[in-house]
Order: sequence, then structure tokens, then C-alpha cells
Amino acid sequence: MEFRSSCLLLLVCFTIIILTDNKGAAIPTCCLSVLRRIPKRVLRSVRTYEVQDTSGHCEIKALILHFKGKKICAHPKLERFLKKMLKHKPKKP
Amino acid sequence: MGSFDLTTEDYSLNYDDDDDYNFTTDPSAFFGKELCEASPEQERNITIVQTTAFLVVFVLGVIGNGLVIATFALYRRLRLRCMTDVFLFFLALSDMLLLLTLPLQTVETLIGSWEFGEPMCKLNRGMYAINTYSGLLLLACISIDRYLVVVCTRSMRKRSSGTLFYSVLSALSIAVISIMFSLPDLSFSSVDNVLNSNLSSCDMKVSEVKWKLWAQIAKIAGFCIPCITMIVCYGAIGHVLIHTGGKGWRRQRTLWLMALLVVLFLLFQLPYTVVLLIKISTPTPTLCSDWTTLHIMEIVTRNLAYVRCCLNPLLYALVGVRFRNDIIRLLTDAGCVCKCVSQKAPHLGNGSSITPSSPAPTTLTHIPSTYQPGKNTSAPDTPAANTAQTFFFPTPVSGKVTSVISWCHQII
Repeated sequence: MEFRSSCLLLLVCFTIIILTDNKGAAIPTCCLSVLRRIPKRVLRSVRTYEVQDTSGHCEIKALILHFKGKKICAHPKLERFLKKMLKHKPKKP
Repeated sequence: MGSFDLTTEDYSLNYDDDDDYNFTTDPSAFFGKELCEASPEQERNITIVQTTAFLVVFVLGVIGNGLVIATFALYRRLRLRCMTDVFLFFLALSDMLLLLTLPLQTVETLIGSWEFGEPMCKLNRGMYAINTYSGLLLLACISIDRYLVVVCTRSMRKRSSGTLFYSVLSALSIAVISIMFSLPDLSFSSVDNVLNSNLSSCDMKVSEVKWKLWAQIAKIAGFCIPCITMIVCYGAIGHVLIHTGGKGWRRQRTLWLMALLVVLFLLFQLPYTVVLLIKISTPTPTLCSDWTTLHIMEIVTRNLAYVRCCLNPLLYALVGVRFRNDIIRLLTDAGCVCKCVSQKAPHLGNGSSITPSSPAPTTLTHIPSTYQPGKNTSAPDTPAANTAQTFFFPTPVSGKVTSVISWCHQII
């Protein structure tokens, strides 16, 4: 009886585990190094970016540029330039 | 000049759209500069292993520590008059509180996001940190207490009247020290969005790097202090036992038991400390594979440290015959019939299988006892005699008043 209930409990738990679509980050998602020189044409293709800081698990500050399906790590000083460029960029329909 | 140079202040915007640019076809263009993310397979494997470990540790730990706490509450309330009993009670309580933080962590692992709000985030991480440190420090105090009983018998006898006061004072000191060590976790834990997603994460957010470093140093100190204390105290006890001579099975059993305590402590706690030392002393890895490997190692070794919480009842409390008698009595009073007890007794025997030569409980006459007590002789008042009284289940001699010290410390 006890053994059966234990097996049932484990089975339910494994079912929950398998059915759950895990999206969390057990391993931190971080930039480990940054590009200091990026071609302007690449910068013009950036749609959006994020700022990584050192308050959490990551060790360096960086910009994460979303570029054609890739996420490029760039130097944080590029943020000012990116803000200007995204501000003046014409919206494509 | 086709590249953006950080030294130039010329932010001229050139909007020539060059759709034929094939920068992305160069595989080495962004090598080592892409965001380092674990693959979905790695994430799923970590989730499965971590959740399974949490469940097993939680169930076994709650049962074991619950039995210890219930036994103290029901049958040993009037006998909390020696150091080790008080420490064992607080150790079980501390491990229980630590295990109660596992369900929330399990839910966070499964959902992938923290959904319980920031106050629960601080409470959960604070309880985890406080009870981790207090559990480790209580193990150190237990070894110190046993050292005092065996090696410093005379000074121990002087303090017997104030033992309860000193033990409660020690436990309160441990609580204060643990809370101080846990202040970084309590202060800086917060809920924040995971980078590049809409999910939340309960983590330490430290604006200054030095606090992050101090938190890691506190964890390493929280391990090293108990580790050194246990090795020194149990080493001294072993030294005394070896030099009192004799090859009795009970002396051998005690020596093996102390070695086992130290080895298991190192086995479950040392790997996590080594990983923390690696993180502190080495620079940040620049390769994604190194970064991922380091964090997988941290997760695995941290889960390994949880296992200690469900082993402590077996290693420290259930080793004593008196304690096993109390637990059998508890199960009997809880409604189990004698048949259930006779079925439970071998299970408890399996619980202490680390000491196969341990005698069966002698107070239950229907359980056959394989231990034949030797002849009772009045031993001289030497550390060896007191050692026997403390560790070797003495049979009270008729007409001799059993001292409080020997009675209190028969639990091992």
C-alpha cells in the first residue's frame, strides 16, 4: 500500500515534469565578451537591443543586439549611438 | 572606414540599405561574442534531475527529521538536559525548515519563473541561507560536545549542572551567527525579469561586486569552520579511543562511525565549496561551453548538499539505541500494532545499517536480541571508563548511581 502510493506519487510528478514546457534559465544567460568594432551596416540592421548589467549572475556589462535571428554582444558604449539610430530609423511597413 | 570606432565622436547616420551584405554568412564573424544560452536539451535535463532530487530529498528528509522532532517533543521533553540532545533537536528543526524551502524552488524550476512575489522570494532564500549555516554550525557543536565528554571529562563534570543553559546559549549564538551570514541573501534577494524573456527570477541582485564576493566567501567560511572543527574533534576522540587499548567491537564501531560522519560530511558539502572557490579564484570564462559547465557543476553540487539534510537523522539521532526505542514507542503509540512494530523494527535496523554490529533494542522482549552483555565489573574512573559510558551502551551496575553525564550521552 505504501509502496504503491509512493510509485503513484512519483508517476504523477514525472508526468508533470514531462508535460511542463520549461522556459526558465537554470543556467544564467549572459554575454561573456563583447565586440568593440561593429560594421555600421550591421548596426543599421539591429531591430532591438537589451542591456546586460552585473547585478545578477552576469559578470560584465554589455549590449545584446538582436540581429537577423542572432544575439550579438556589443560594447555598452554603443547604447547612445543605437538610441539615436533607432530613433531616426524609418519604420518599414 | 566601414567600422564603428568607439574613439570617434562622429555619429553620422548613413542610411544606405545594403541588402546584399552577407556579413552573417561568415561563421567566424561573431565567434565568442554571441549571447551564451543553454540548449533546450540541457535545460530539460537539469529540470528533470533537479526536480527528482528535490522530491526524494524532501520526502525522506521530512520523514526523518519529523520523527526526530516528534520523539523529542513527546518523549524527551524532560530529558533535554545535555548538550547533544539540544543540538540534535535544533539540527532536526533546522534541516526541516531548510527542506521546506524545496517545494517553492521545485515549482520555480518546473514553471521556469518565480510567481510568488518578492516577500516570499526573500523569505524563501533567507530561510534557505539561515538554516544552511545553522545546520553546519550545529554539526560542529555536536562534535565539540562529544570531544568535551570524551577528552575533557573532569571539566565536563563541573559543567553538568549548567549544561542546559550553555547548550541553549550555544544554539542561540548559532542562530545569531547564521542570520548575520545570511544578511546578504535577505537584503539583496529580489524578483526581476530574466534577460531576454518575460519570465521572472528570484535571485540576488547586487549593484556592487564586493557584496557578491562577500556572499560567496560567507558560504565558504560556513563550510570550512564546521569542517575543521569536526576533523579536529573527532580526530582527538579517535586518538583517545585508540590509545585506551582493547579491540572491543563497540570501540571499533565508534571509530568507524566517527570516520563515516566526517567522510559523508566532506562528500556532500566539499564539492559545492570547491565550485565556489573556482568561481572566486578564476577569471570569468570567455567560452560558452566553460560557462555552461561551471554552472551545471554548481547546480549539481548544490543539490548534493541537500542530501545531507535527510542523512542527518540517520547519522546522528537514529544511531543511538535509546533513540530507536523512543521511535518504536512513538510508532506504537501512534496506533501501530505489535505486528507493525515488528515489521518496522527491521526497517529501522536498515536505517542504521551503517552499524551492522549494533545490538537490537533490548526493551522490546519479543524482538530477539543477539547482543549478550558481558560481565559487569566496576571500571576505574578513567577517561576510558567514561568513554565506555558515553559511547558503548553500558549496563547499569546494581547499587551504582548512573551519572547524568553517562545517561545523557548514551544516544551514540
